[in-house]
Amino acid sequence: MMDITIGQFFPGDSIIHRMDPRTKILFTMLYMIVIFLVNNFAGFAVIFLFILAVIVSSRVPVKYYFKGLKTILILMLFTALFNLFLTPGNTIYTLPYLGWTISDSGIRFAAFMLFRLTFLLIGTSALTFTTSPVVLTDGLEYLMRPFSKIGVPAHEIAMMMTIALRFIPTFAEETDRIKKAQSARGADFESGSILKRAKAMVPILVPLFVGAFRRADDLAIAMEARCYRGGEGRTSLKQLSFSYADIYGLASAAIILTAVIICNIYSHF
Amino acid sequence: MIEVKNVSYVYSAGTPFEVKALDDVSFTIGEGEFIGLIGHTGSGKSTLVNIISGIVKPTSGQVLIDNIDITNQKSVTRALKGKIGLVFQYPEYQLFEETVYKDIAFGPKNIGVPDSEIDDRVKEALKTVGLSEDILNKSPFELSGGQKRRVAIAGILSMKPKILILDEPTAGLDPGGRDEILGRIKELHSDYSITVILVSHSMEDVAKICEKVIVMSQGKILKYSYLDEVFKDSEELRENGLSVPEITTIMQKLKSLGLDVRDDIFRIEDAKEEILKILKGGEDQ
Repeated sequence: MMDITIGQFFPGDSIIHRMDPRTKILFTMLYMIVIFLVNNFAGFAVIFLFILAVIVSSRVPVKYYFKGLKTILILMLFTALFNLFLTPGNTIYTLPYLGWTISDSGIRFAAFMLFRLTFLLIGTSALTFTTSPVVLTDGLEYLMRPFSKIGVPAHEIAMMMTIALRFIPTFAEETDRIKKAQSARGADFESGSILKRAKAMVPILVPLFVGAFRRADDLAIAMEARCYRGGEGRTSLKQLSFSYADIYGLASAAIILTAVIICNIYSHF
Repeated sequence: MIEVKNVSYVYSAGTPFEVKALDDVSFTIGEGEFIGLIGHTGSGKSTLVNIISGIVKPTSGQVLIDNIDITNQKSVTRALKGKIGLVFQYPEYQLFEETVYKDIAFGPKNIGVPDSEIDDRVKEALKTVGLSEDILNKSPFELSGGQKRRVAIAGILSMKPKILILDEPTAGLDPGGRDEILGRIKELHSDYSITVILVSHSMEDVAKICEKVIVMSQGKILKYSYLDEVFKDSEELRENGLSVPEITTIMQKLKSLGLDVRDDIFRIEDAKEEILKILKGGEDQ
């Protein structure tokens, strides 16, 4: 029923899958910064080639990356339109009747924004497609550990994320089940005014929340029964370790960063 | 009458996770019959009842209820709502209203029953499931598990369905609660002569109250016949991950040990008589 492509994990054994989650998280953060540093088309060409290499080597079908893009399509269009019309510069076209103007730098910024959002989403999808949620939060916990000195509950945050991710499919399934059960009692979710349809959600939301609290209770008891007591002195079953895949990752990070800086300095396109 | 014609259903078609839940299934259920639908987990039982009640559309094939094709138009399925009552697994998780009364009245209201009639329907449904009217003003969330289950079933019965489908109505209940629910369903069937389909993987439950059984395995109908006919071939059932009722196993063992008893017995009372007959017969000689 629900199409949750963002954040979905595709098991596999590609070089990207084998990378350490910490490398991938740091890499993704660096990648995000680089995307917003780029200020010319040559730089975007470098990023395009790089992300293409990532997609191919992740061995996750390309269509799943595009499916993720579809979900933010409206956001992308709006951002592009705003940039197109609201950026000051040399006017090259004026919309009849409305008087809105399109400038040369408007076109440039709109294109940049589109590229940035597209590359951003594909890049972060590459992270979640190739890293299982559990491993991902392990990596996050490790990276957040230095901050626990200033009172950030690194382990607890990571645990909450793991649990939240774990329950997304469960609740999607439960919503589907409740929806069917209520429509078997003649409930109608599809017709009527917005207000009527919003009211029709009550028979779904109440059982869903009741179920969520019940599950939270059960889970808490199950964790207590297995002597869970937070992050203090806790060790992992699976130790994170760096491998040659991470060296490739770091090397390519250095190359892409250098290439983008060179583009920023020398390219005027 | 329910006619299922060449119905197939495929989950997640076109992805690597494609599963064929139903594979070209056809059968007919007559008016007023009491059918047990059994099969192990994942055999397609739940998918089949969802399709029969018009909630899920089949990938291909037709379902006719009293000669109306419910797989076609939306308006037809809406008209059928109320005519087919589907009690889901763990139906107590669908309760949501502030009071038991409002929850039971939710179904009839949705299908357009006039307000003047709703009150009678709620009380009648509550009586049918064996609960007293004291609880009508309570919140459904403060009831016990068994009571919640019965309120949820009453919420379906208040729509006065002509066909009642129950998906594992006894799952998670203690033996007392199980017998109570099964007894009520049996009464309902004989009092109102409605068609009942009971989905279960408990052979004991099915043997206790059904007339005919549909056995499903891997999305196909393995057998569809009267109880004695189905339980006769216990080997085939076992191969498909199902068992025959314990009492049938006992009778079959007795026979293989050389006692001259019938081995197609599936109710304890019949078994008692059969064994007594043999014992008395022995005295006469």
